[in-house]
Amino acid sequence: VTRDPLQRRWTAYRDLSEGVEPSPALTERILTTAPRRARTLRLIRNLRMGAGIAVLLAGSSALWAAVETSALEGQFAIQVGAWAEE
Amino acid sequence: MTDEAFAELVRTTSARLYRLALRMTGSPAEAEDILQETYLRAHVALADAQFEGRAALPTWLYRVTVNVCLDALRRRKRWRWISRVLHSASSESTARTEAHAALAETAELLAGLPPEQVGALVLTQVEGHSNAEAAGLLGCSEGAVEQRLIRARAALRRRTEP
Repeated sequence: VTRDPLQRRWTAYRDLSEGVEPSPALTERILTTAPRRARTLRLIRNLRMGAGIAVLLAGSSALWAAVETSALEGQFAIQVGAWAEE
Repeated sequence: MTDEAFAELVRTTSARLYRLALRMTGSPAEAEDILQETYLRAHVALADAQFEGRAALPTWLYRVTVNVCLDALRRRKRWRWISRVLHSASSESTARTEAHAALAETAELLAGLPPEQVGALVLTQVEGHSNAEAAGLLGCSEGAVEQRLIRARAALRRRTEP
C-alpha cells in the first residue's frame, strides 16, 4: 500500500520519459551556439564593467572638483568676513 | 574549456538533463530551451572558473538545470494565458509522440502548482531523490520540501478526485 495515491501516475510519468533523449539537432545546436553566446556574454560583461569604471572615475573627479570649489569658496568667504571685521 | 571537452560534457550529460527538464515542464520545446540555457551557463561558469569542484561536474550541472527549470516555470506563470493560446495553435507539432502527449497530461496537472512545489514533486516522486537531496538541489530545508510535498499532494488530490 503506497502512502501517495498519485504514486502510479508518477511512476507512469517517469517510465514514459525514461527513454526520451534530446535530438541530435539540439545537441549540435548546443555545441555550436553555447560557446559563441558565452563569448558574447563575456564581452558584454567586460564592456559593462569598463563603462562602470569610467562612470565611477568621472563621478569621483566631478565630486572632487565640487569639493575643491566649495573649499575655495569657503576660504574666500572667511577672508571676506575677516576683511569686513577689519 | 576546450571545444572537445565541452562536446564530451554535453554528450555524457545531456540525456539525463533533458529528461529532467521534460519532467519539470512537460514540454519538449521548453526542455530544449532549458538545456541550451543550462549549457550556456555552464560554459560561462567553466570559463570563469566559477565551478570550484565541490560537487562533481554532472551533479553541478543537474543543479543548474533545476534552477533554470524553476526560472522557466516562474516565467511561464506570468505568461500562462499566452502559452495556452500558443499550445492550442501548435498542438499538432509539439505532441509528436504518445509519450509526449501523456507527459503533457500530467504536466497540465503540475502546471497549476507553484514552481517550488513542482520542483519538490518531480525531484522526489519522479527523479527518485530523497527529501534531503531535493532540499539540497532546491536550496531549502528538508522541512520546506516536506511542506511543499504535502501542499502539492493536497492540491493534486482536489483536482483529480471526482
